[in-house]
Amino acid sequence: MLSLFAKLFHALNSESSTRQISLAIALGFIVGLSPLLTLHNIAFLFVVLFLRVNIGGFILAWGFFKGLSYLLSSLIIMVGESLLTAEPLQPLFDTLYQFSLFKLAHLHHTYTLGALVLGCLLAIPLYFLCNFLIEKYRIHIKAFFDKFRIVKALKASKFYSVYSQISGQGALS
Amino acid sequence: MSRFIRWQGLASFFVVIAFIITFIYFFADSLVKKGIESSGEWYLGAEVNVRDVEITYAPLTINIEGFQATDPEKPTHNLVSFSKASAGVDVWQYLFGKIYISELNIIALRIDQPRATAGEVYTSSDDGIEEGTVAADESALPKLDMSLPKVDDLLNNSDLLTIKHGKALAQSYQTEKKKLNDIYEKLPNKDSLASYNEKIKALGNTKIKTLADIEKLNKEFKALKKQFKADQAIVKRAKQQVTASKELLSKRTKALKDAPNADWKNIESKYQLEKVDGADFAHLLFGEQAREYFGYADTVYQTIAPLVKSSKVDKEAKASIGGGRFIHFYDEAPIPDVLIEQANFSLILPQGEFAISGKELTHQHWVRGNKSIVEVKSNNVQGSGELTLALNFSLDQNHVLKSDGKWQLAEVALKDVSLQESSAFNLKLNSGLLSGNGTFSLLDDQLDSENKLNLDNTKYTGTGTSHLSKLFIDTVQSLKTLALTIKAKGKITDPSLSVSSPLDNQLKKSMMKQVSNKLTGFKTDVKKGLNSKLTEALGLSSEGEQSFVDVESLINDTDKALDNLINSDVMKAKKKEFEDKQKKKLEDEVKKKLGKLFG
Repeated sequence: MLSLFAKLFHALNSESSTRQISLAIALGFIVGLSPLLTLHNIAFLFVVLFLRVNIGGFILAWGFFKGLSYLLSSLIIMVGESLLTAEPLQPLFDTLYQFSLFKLAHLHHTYTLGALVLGCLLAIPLYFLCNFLIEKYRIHIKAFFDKFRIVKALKASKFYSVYSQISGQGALS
Repeated sequence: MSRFIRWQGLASFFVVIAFIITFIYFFADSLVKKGIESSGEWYLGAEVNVRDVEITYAPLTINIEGFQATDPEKPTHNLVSFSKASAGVDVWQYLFGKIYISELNIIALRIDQPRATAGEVYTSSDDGIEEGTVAADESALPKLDMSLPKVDDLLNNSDLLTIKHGKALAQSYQTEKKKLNDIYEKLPNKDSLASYNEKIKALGNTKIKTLADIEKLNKEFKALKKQFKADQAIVKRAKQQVTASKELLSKRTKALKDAPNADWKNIESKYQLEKVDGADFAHLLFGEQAREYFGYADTVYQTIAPLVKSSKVDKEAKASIGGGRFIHFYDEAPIPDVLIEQANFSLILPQGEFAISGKELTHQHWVRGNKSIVEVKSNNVQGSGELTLALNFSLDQNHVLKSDGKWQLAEVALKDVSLQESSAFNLKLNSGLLSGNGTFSLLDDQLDSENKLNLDNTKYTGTGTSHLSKLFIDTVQSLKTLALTIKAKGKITDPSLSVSSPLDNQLKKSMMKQVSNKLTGFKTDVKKGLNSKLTEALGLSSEGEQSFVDVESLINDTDKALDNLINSDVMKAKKKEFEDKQKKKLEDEVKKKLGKLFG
């Protein structure tokens, strides 16, 4: 776990693209909201591994949003329920239902569809928000926090030594 | 390109997928085992054990061995257990969110079997056992502990209505007689009436010469008339008294005539004689057994109905707790959410081994428009008895359960079946051969069932505490065959049962034959005694009635005589006589004066 955090911090502090990190968090958000073993999660996993997305960020975001999904489950089901039962969408779903892939992906399940739709919709603003925050962090926040004694004490901790080993650097410069 | 694509990630992806598949492949058995145990425990609220689960993949078949589900109300026993089960699952349908089992086989299914060690119970059941049914049955049964009283004692009982009404009639007769005697004394007798006639005659013979004589005669007649009217008033009162007395005595006589029948009814009721005539013997003997069997049907219904009727509840519950639900759309070949196309169970009960087969088992019959069909067969019920049962059921979209079926039973050997255990008597069927058939239908929870049973080669033993119960047992023991018709109608949880049988008539005849000497003799003696009391009392009454008729006749004659006297024309005659005389005298005088004038 420490390694994962260390990797994320390393990514945040390194020259890694902010978009790679933001995309990892956004994808982690989509996968985290959905049930674990679904067809679209496998597809997103493929994207995460195949594209140059920060894997540490993805795994942490996945874990974090998985926890958050329990709090959001009512909202997720409500979204899925209202979509699947909406009268104007019935012809669309009737057509999609004839495809095995649709049923295999469990997109006729209120939770699965709700999680996918909500995840995809919110992932877009989340991506831009993360972009903005990471940039701000790199410019201002890191320098600001480096001044604190507690950060200096942290640098003397075990966490920091792990972090140093992973990043291959002696300092957070 | 390589700025965006991580080629080694592709390999990582396949490794991860392979890892997942491998994990599932190797741990699927344990996962399914754990899943069955935990979901079973969640549903039952008691420990569920599965010895082993094996999954084969081509085609996908789940094999379960050693399943035991603890009875939460009796943790030392299993609610249900089986040695082996296999279910062929359609993988694609499962992946689409449906459970489609093409074939389910359960071998050696057992109910209420003891466990090696008591199972854990996670929830407490607060369902109280309905008490009072047994007590109600007991109270509904005739005690049959009759002992007949002595006829003389019964007839001397002052509470008998015949005696009471007889006494009342005699007393009324005496009272009314006294009243009539009193008034009889005051009535004008024959001498008085003769004297009145003499006086009227004397008035008629009076010589009338002047108007003063007429006046005097009129005065005397009016005095007589006043006396007649006073006597007539006495006669009127006498008449009223006679009418009142007649009415009272007639009322008392009617009550007395009705009393013997009322007395007999009271005696029948008090000594339970009417129960011998009208006792529902079939219900008395077999009602409890029938209720017990319908109780099993109720238990099955209570267990199965929530499972087949719960889809709506499940959907609502899942939605509310965060699981979501599958929503199915138009499909050319739709299948229900859960469907077992063919199921075969072998059920082992203390009564025998039963082969149960089911087709199209689901809780959404409207999806394919097919009914679920269940057949039960056994050829070793209680040894060598044969049972066939065929039923079908379906649930519509409003979750209304419809079911009907028929059954047939042949050559079932019964041994040591307790038919009656009460304070009055015990009766046990030691042996007999049972056969029968029946039909039933169920609409939601409303049951309508008719069942016919035949018992042959019967042997009974029993003990009774009273003479009549001993006779009853002797009669039953003398019967070698009996037929029963058991009807059940109403709510399945509490159907109204009617048990009828030619046995009722057989027993009635047989019992009546055996008790007829005693009971008929008793009836004859009691009725004879009551009738003699009636005749005695009515004899007194008829004597009084004759004297009443005599008095009434006398009063009527007196009234008539007085009427004649009052309406006597003696005064008119005397007046006419005087007027005629005066007229003649006047004519004579006129003639005399005219003669002188012309002659």
